[in-house]
Amino acid sequence: MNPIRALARVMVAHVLRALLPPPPNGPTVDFRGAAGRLLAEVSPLMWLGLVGSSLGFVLSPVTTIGWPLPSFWLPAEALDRHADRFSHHPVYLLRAGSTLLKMCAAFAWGELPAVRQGWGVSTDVADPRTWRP
Amino acid sequence: MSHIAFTDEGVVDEVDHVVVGSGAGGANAALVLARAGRSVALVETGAWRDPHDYPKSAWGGMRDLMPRTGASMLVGRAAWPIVQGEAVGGSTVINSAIRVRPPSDVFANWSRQFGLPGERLEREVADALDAVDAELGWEETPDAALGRHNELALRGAGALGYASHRTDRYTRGCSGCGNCLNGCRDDAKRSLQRNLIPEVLARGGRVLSCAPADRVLFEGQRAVGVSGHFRHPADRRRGGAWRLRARRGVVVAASVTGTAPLLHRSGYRHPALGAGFRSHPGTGVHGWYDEVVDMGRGATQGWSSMAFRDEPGFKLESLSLPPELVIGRLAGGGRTLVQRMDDIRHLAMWVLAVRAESVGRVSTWLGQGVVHYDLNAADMVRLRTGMTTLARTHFAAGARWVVPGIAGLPYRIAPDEIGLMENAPLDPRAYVVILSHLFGGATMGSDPATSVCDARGAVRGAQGLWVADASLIPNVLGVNPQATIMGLARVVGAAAAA
Repeated sequence: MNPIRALARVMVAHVLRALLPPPPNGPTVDFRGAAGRLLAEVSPLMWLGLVGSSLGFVLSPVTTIGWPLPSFWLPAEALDRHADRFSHHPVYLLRAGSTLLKMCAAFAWGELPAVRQGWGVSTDVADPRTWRP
Repeated sequence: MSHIAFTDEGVVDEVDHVVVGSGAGGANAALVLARAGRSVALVETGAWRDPHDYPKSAWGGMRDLMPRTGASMLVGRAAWPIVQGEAVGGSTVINSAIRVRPPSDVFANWSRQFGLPGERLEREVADALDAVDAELGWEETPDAALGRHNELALRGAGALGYASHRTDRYTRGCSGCGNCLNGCRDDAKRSLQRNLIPEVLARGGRVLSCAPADRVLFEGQRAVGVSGHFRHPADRRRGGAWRLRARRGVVVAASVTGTAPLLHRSGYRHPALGAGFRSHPGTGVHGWYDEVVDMGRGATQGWSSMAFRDEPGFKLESLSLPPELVIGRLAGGGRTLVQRMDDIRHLAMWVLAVRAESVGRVSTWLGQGVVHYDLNAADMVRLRTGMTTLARTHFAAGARWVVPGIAGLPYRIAPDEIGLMENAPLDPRAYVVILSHLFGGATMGSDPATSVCDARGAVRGAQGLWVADASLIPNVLGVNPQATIMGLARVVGAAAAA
């Protein structure tokens, strides 16, 4: 895999997990797989939005919780505080980006039938990906 | 019958008319032309998907049925998304099929402000919509499809004493599965690739899908065809070139974000091309109820109110979104947001759409349409007032609290805290708004200097070229535009066939 794409996938998966982390006894959400699929399928504009917003998340802990570290290196408690404050960030583009990222994190959760059952919606989400030839 | 989807081969053909875009505008214009005995080719950027092809996941809906996988944004102070369909059938595949005829004041305004023959247009559009109603069929949202989120809205509006109703929609036998936004797998929605476009094919027409148009071809000032390249619906790779020669003319109905840019990159120039962009910007307020609401059950938009259309200037509707899209809108992140996911089944979402007076433009950048648009202060007040009205309606319906979704405000607001919403900031960046009803860019009018098209959709300064989508509409309607677009497109189609 192209190293930039591989890095983008790792970074986006980290951010999706931080924004919507499964509880200790919660479902096993495949953020890495979901990030890979999203990055492969999105339009170039959305790819830029996803990766740019994720980069903003990784680099901004100093602006949210005062820790001058990338979010990868934050302990769990600090990462959780950063994730919460990131969605209220005073910089509009970061705040708007968090909406996109949270939606994508929810896509990852929504791949699990048990989660969908809890949401009260259909558990069948297998897209046919077909069209009239 | 002839349909060509993606191919690596080239396609060359000659017909009487080429129609670009197969949504509410293009499909109706093509149908009128086909019924007049013209040979028609209908070209569409998106793929042709039938109910068994519709995606089931929330992400699949964005990926398979929307342009740029749902990532179209406007350029302005706030980066708000633009929601449109990209498929044979256009937005009629993904919308809620709401049927509202244009009120008389729309035509009176067109006469007064733009010098259009309002009375004649009103009569012609009404006649066209009589035919549309008969051919598509429609129904008021039935009991079986209402769902709790629509019932609560009716209750709330009733308690506050303002008029509201079950929505009339172009559906037949809707069961209320709540999947309108991903296409109706029950085939109850009268999406146009299922209803009118098959008649175009049966009358000898041709449909090219996965076929974005690059340019309208001109010989002198006469439009003589359209060319483009196929684009694969899954991997988006470029396919073969296609070129359709039009003996009698070209009708462009490529949507407000597509029509003006297509004309521009085809070399057509007019000072008003791209000007006069308007919209109904909309946003929602969630109410939290003690009972389970499950807003995904019931008609997606089964309730609406026009009580505030004239003053202050907004309309209200219910809207059920998939949980993933709701979660994206909820404030907070991390464990806080995970806890808030527990609210999902208790939330009902109602939305407002502002009858906005603000004006923007559609420009062309790297060949693509870019919408430049900002709401003025008066429209921001309308937006905030509409949100407050929705919050009051939720409380009147029994909501324990509401989720305003406004940056800077608490996640939840109790009935005695509604003043926080009334005094919320008017900065557009504090709101999560979408634009789904778009108008203008190639507007009609009587003044050749300020309008691209005449009252029949004919493009000024060109021969054999018409516009037949919402790009024609010179101001906001204040009602759902699908019926108006269909009616106008039939008027334009008749002019092109004459």
